[in-house]
Amino acid sequence: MSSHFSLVGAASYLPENIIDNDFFIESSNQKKHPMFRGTKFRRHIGKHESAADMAVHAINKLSEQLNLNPQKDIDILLTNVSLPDIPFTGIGAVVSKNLNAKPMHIFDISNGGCVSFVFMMELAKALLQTTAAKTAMICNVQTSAGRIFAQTGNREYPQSAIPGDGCGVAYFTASDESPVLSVVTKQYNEYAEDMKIKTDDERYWWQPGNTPFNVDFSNSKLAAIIRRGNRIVPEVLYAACEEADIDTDDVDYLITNQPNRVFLRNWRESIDLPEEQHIDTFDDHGNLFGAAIPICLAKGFEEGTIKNNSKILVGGFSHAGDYAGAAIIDWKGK
Amino acid sequence: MSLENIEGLVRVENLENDDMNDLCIELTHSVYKHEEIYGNFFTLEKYIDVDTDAAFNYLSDKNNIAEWSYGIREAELLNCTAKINQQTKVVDLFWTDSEGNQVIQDMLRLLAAQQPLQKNGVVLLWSSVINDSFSHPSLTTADHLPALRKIEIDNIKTILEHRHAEGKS
Repeated sequence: MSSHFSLVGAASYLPENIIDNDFFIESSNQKKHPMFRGTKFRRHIGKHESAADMAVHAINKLSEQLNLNPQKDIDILLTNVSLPDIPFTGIGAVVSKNLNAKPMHIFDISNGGCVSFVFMMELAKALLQTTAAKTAMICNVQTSAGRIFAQTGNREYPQSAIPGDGCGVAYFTASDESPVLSVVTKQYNEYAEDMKIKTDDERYWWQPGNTPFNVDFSNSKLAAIIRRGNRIVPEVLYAACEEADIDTDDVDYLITNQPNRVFLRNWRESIDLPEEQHIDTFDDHGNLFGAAIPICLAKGFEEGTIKNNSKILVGGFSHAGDYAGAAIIDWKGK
Repeated sequence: MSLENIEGLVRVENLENDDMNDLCIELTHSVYKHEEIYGNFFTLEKYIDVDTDAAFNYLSDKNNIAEWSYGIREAELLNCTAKINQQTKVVDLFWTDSEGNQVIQDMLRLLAAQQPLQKNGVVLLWSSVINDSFSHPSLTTADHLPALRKIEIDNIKTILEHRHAEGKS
């Protein structure tokens, strides 16, 4: 049975600002950071750069590759930004303005975090199957590395070296070119409040103060989150294969969010896939949050890793385990 | 008695908290290969909702073994002797081939569940060790030992709980 919902292509934009490990070691006066293992570089969003700018760069790049005219070829624009340019509005309207485009629908979603790409796929699929819209641009922007973790007062923490900024976009159409065989999403609301925003002086993040706010994962919480990630991601990867009616052995490439090397290893092991078939950019880009999946898709296409007529499994989980999702794409090639 | 220069030793007394945390994260996987978990020796555990004495009396009576053990069906090929310790609630089963070589050893130990789990019943810990040079053309035991022992430990639980529910344990 055809989904009549296909992936057509993906592209990425990475901010120019390349940050090496010294940026963090200097500020913490520590020579050794156990959490550094694996990350060599990451990008930070420019001081005057916006999430909308990053999205426009990536969409223009993809449009060039696919020979699209963004002014008329985007019926639905879906975005997720980790730390938005401004509260309230979302970036969708600004992006469409700067593309000089008039999509039929714009949705800026704020949930789904590191796996929001799959949640936006689910939404795009539903809209393309039930409305007059025929095309959808999904856009993930991660901005929190430069905006939160680079702040003086935050960058001393070992975990601040892990996040990296970037934007990934992917284009979907109501067609059978490279059909999406399954999209599975799960929510675990019992973990919804386990990721906290903290400040030194107990103020709320929107209240004025002299120190930056940060994201709180204590060591004890970290262990619990790792247990969850080890369980809920393999479960949803298996569920996506089952819904697509394929065996995990039939998966040619795995693309997940990339919080750290251990999760990458564990999720790959859970479907018994060799390392070279699990596409990531962790060494160069760190934890890209929600942008990891489309950026790695783009990398797989650009570098020719992903061959035509292959099955791509994308998936992951968000925050402290509140959402998980996975999808199978039957990639036929361009 | 120095611990210096012992390669591979994790010096728990002075390992940094972060390093230990890191090491633990590294060692925790999502899935494990069958061979890593079972290999030539392994331990199964099962909670059984009967009291410790009832479980011990059942397991230590050799006449009951045919009810739950597949191994006994291969009795003409393997001989079983039991060593029982009433005090520690241990039942050791030694399986030897026709030439008297020990090929499999099963060590069953019962723990009252009350203390660790705060509930009635008993936890059965069962370790099995197989001699890795053991092979026999008509015995599947060697290749299937973990699966066989899983079936058998489930049988023990099922039989004991069924009889207990009927007031016969």
